[in-house]
Amino acid sequence: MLDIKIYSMINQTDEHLLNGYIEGALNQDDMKKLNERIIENSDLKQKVMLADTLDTPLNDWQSLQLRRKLSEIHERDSSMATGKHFSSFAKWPRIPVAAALVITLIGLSLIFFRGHPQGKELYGKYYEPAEPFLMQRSAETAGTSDFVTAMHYYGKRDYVNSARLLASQTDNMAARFYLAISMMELNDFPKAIEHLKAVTADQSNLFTDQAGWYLALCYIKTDNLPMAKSTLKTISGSQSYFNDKAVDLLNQLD
Amino acid sequence: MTKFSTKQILEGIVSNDTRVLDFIYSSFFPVALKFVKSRGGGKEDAFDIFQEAVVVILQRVRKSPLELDCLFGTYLQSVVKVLWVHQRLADKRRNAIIGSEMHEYEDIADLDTGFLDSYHENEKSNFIQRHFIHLSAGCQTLLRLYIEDVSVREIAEIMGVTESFVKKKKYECKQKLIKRVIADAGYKDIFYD
Repeated sequence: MLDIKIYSMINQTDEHLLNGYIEGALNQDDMKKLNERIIENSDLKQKVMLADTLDTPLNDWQSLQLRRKLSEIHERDSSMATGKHFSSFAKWPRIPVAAALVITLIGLSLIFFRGHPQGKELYGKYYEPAEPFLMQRSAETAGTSDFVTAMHYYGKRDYVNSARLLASQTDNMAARFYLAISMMELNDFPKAIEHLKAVTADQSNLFTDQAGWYLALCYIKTDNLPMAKSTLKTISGSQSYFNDKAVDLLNQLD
Repeated sequence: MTKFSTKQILEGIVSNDTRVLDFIYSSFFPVALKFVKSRGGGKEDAFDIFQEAVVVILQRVRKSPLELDCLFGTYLQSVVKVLWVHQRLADKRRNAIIGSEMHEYEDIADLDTGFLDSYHENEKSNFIQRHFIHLSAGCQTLLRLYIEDVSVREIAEIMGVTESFVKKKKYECKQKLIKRVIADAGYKDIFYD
């Protein structure tokens, strides 16, 4: 049940009707009652109208994705600015002892902020979604199979639909890999980790190396640095295509 | 950092290209921040307006081709200014805007007012979206799948949960979104007019 304070202008019966309406659980009689009540209560009417309009903006996934990406950039920038703010302590003390202390602090802050960049910052720097598989063919034959159609959606950055189609094909490691990347794009990192682990555990597919790399990035994003380092060490000691990147990223985490 | 032409920037906004969005943010957000701060706003106010401006430009570009006879940064800054004025007119501080301050924005009208139509058309929608992106990732995915007419069984499969959990969660997520929207001070201005 909703907090009554939110619906302060409507009584409990109206609140019950409204909740049922949002849940899609009203029978015919209740719908009739709700229609009668909204004529009498403009506040209830507004809330029903709001519930009706909720779906429309969510159809504009392109705008939502744009907002999400800009917010991520802004968060990253703000966390870096905090680091800069920390090092600006240099201006503060005037007496020698305090100055020495500040120099030490600056040194430590530089080591801390340069040697250990924020996980989110590193994630933003290294993460790019994997190139879609079979893009050329998908453009020509979209609709011939769920996987091809899913890749078509994936190529268009429609990760909800790619995830929807790929979720029923998890026996196929290629599908599972792209499902994991789709989940990363949808910000569901626990699910992405689950799928990437499955792909890396299955050594007989073409996506093992890529899956390992994205798994490390998922661990960084979720602040699980021990697992991120362990995964990156495995990649850096292998013949993986991501070997150099893994060494580079590992150096920044150490 | 790579520089982009106006055409590349507009295409990058439409395709949600991270490199272009990074460029837009690092090149133009400081200008928006300075503008908003000089008028009493804070960093988060500036980001809200800046984000809204980029989204409004996306919606404007999707509607019809946009030919700019100025730099993208100039255009974006104009949109930021107009949205700032609109926001101030909408909130309770509307009386604080005096005639002389409004003159400052008159030159903007000549630039391209097409985005204002897009802005008004999408005002309610954008208002809800601003709250939607603050829901948990799980709620966002679930509501999105639900709106796409994906069956409850399929949603459960994608998210690795039971069907009854999906049904319960869908209701809770919708309630959370409604709560957030109603709790916003701007709700009545936008939805009750």
